[in-house]
Amino acid sequence: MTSKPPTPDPAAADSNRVGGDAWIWRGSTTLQASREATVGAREFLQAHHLPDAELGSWELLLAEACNNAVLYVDPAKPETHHWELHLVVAADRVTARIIDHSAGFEWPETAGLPDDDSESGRGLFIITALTDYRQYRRSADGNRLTLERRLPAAVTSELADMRRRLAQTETTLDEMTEELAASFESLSAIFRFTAESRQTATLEEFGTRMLEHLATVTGADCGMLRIVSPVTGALTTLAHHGCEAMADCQPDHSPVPPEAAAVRTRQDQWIEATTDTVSVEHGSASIQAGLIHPFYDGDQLMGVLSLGRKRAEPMHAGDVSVIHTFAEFFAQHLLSRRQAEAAVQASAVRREIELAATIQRSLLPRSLPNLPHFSAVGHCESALMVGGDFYDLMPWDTNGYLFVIADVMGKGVGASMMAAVTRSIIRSLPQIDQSPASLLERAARLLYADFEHLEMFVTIAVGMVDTKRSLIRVSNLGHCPVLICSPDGILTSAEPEKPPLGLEEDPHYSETSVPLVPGTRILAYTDGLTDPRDHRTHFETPEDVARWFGEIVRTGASAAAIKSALLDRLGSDSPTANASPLVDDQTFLVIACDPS
Amino acid sequence: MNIETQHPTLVISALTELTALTASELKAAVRLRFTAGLKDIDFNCAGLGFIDSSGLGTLISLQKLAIEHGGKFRLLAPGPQVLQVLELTRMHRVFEIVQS
Repeated sequence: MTSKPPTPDPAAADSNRVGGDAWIWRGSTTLQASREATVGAREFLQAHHLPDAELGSWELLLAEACNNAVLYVDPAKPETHHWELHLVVAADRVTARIIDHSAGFEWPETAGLPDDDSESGRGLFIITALTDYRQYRRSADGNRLTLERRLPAAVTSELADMRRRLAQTETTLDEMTEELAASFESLSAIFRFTAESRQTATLEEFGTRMLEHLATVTGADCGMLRIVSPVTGALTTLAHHGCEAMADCQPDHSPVPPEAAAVRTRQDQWIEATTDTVSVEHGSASIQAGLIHPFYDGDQLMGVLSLGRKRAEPMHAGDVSVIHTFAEFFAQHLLSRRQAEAAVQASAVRREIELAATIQRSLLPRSLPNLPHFSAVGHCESALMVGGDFYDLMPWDTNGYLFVIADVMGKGVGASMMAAVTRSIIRSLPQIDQSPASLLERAARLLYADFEHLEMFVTIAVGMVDTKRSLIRVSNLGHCPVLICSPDGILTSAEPEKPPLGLEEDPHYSETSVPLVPGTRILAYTDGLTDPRDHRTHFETPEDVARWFGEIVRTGASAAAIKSALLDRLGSDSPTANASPLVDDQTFLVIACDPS
Repeated sequence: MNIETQHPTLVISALTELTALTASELKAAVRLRFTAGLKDIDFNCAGLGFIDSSGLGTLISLQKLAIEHGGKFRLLAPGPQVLQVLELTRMHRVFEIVQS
């Protein structure tokens, strides 16, 4: 039995070949199995989004066909007790094939309906009525019933649309799979790279290893990593990989135009075979595809990472993702390294400052000597923890006392060291020289070479309180005025008459002499008293200091009282003093002459 | 499947499908329950999702049974799937169908 088959459709053939639209059921020759096959077939067709009417027709006609396959089997031949149902969904039709091993039957030329009261004989009519094509072949190796039913036009169109969407979904899935694989590869590479990075000693080595990993993961033939120099601000090559044979990837060259474009636009630049930007710059281009990626810390350009391929295969989205991830990772590493270096440097500077401060503290007398008829107090507060100020007070032979105040120009350990040297020289000389001027002349000759070599100098005032001759003699080399005030307020200012110590190899100095009377007060100070500083009161000029000193001496204040008043005037004890660092050291020495 | 007697009618209901697999069981149960005094058979199709040609044959045999007892056979509330089969095989002209 055959009926005219519908015109073959290439799309249907294709769909059969690609698979996924075919369904096969195999089972035993029982009505239970027949029903299960029919229900399974309906579910398969439902999964292909056939409308309910189509599903109902197929369930009914397959029920009839499958029942025939199991009802005509010979119970005495168990080897024939199996059968198969095949279903294929094409673009415009569904085809079923039933293969059984029963005795079979003669397919009638026409399958009509029986009498109304007949309880059987409608199965073949139903199959015929619901199919467009039928073929039944009986044979010794199995009977084959082929049934086809065209899909309604709307369903065909919908199926075609669904196939397109399915194809799109598969493409999307492929892309997602590739993306996932790339992400996994990226993560794996980063983990490996992170583990290795702990063993890299230098940033260059770190960058080189990163390029090697990136080249492996992305299939690049060469790579270049340039970073912005923190010193010059220019892009400089930190690391490169595989550039030896690449004419257009030379570490020694300045950044190529695509790199400059990446920096200028803040966007990735793609190298493609059709773009000859690189080859124009460097002649024989060997990079056919690549990516140039600028990376930033916030708005601050940190560097440019470039990867290139010899073959004209553009970087995929997964490759780009990996390159971006590595660049971000490197940027974080670079920031971390720089912060660590800054911390080490700050630590070194802090240690130097602490060392210098220790030296400077050692210059100051732990306690001023207890001299008959004299009282003396001193104060030294350093700017930024360290400076070159110092003061000193010592007996001078049997004639009286010698005081020193000095300020080495400069800061840090160097200034402190020169202050220490100067102090030691001065301390060694009073036994030899009989006047401040001659003492300083000798000191100048001894220290000149060192000061000249270090390009430093010291402002210094040395005073002698000559109790035998009742004189105060001061020699001042470029230092702040030394103020000498009698109890009745007569003020003498020993002004700097010569350049600071260290500027002249063999100088001749002069002195200021003032009669020593009971109640005389001496104030020697450094220029820190008149330098401006935030939130702290200070003297505007040396004349302000002199005026203030004359006034307090007239009150008969002791050395300690003058010191206390001066600190109050300077605001050293105010709550905001610690928050307002000094611009310059503040040092002063107050001596009171009170013979009994 | 549920079979109950509402004299003089035997009411069959709660069948989800009527096929070659279930037809024999239904016929045997009805013959057992179609006792003296009964003459009509109502087959309630509510919930019946599928019927094949063997099921149709069963309905015809039930109709014959009712007629033999001087009664009548009715199909109550057949759904679209069942109606499709009835119309395809012209049996909608043979059975008394009550939609509600």
